[in-house]
Amino acid sequence: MKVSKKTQFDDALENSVADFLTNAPDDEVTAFFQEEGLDIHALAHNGREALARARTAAAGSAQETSSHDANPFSGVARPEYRRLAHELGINTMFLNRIRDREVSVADFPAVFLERLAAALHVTIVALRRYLSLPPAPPIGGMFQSDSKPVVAAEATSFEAVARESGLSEEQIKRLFE
Amino acid sequence: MFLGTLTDVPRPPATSRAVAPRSQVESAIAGLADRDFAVLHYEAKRICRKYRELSPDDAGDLLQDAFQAVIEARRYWQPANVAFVPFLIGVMQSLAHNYHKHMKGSHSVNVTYEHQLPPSEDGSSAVDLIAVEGHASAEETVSDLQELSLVEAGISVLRAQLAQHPVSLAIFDGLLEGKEKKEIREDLNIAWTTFWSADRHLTRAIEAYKRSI
Repeated sequence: MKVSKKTQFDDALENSVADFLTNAPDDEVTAFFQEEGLDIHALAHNGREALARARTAAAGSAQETSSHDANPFSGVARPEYRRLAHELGINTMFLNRIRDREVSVADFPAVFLERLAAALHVTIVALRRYLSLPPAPPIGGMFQSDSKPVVAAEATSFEAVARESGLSEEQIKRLFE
Repeated sequence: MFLGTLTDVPRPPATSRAVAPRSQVESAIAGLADRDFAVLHYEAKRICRKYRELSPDDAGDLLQDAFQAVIEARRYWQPANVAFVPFLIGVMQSLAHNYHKHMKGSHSVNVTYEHQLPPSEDGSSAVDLIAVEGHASAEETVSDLQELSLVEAGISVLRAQLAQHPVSLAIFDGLLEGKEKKEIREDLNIAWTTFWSADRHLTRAIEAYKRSI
């Protein structure tokens, strides 16, 4: 696109001012602000406050991201993992698919979700948030397999995944009680 | 306020080694002096004045968002290419421009002379017409002439303001020739302090001129 003469002229002026402000010696910049009737300390204070707010916002954002993405299964060692599945009345295959978010969060029996949250020592809100994320393969090598990990295209129903994982109808029924 | 309109800038290739690591960014932030913070806030105000959707009161928010974008590594600093303060100014310009683009129904970014220019039928300014690539129509030729006269008027005003400052005038003439400040300084072959003092006069004249239009 052709750059207009006016834009070129404006840019030249803008760049000249910015060049002076960033490259001129301190005393010249200070003199400039004084001559413009500006308090350099007040301007600096405003700038530092902007940085402080940015740091607070960035920290909050990082915390939010961290809590959103926290995997409640990540701290569960292999022996505990098997025990967890047993206590929940399911097998590790079904637990794997829950962990990998292959089950639609809306389809979990409330009572099962409560049990799972309690067993993982997280709140139901945090667990729901984790389970609401898109299906994904496990991160890290804790549950390594010889076969290539398969990522489910989308979460499916609780009962369907339970059946596919080899749970009997009686076992599935108990998960709703 | 600007973050919602942000599109992350693609990270340069990792192999280039040009992107500052987080530690270097933090060091650069820690090294900012009062003068730097003052300049950044002043520049934020100047950038906000360029956009109809923004006011100088938004300067603090704009600077905050620029810092946050850099801290969160959504904007990448390449120290070999640009110093940290000019980089932050560039981030602010980019954020403000993205915000402007996001706001539907807004008009031209450069409002400097628009009140002096007749609007076209579709509401765009004569400046916009000139910026369109292609063969010049009769309207474009007229706009081109209008634009040229406005630029010449601006140059005349600034020349008059700098009449008592020959070195400042020489710097201004160098800028009009498309030279960089460093090149102008070398051409003039004057003392460092003399150059920057003259550039201060020029900067004040430019700011006064901008306020007057």
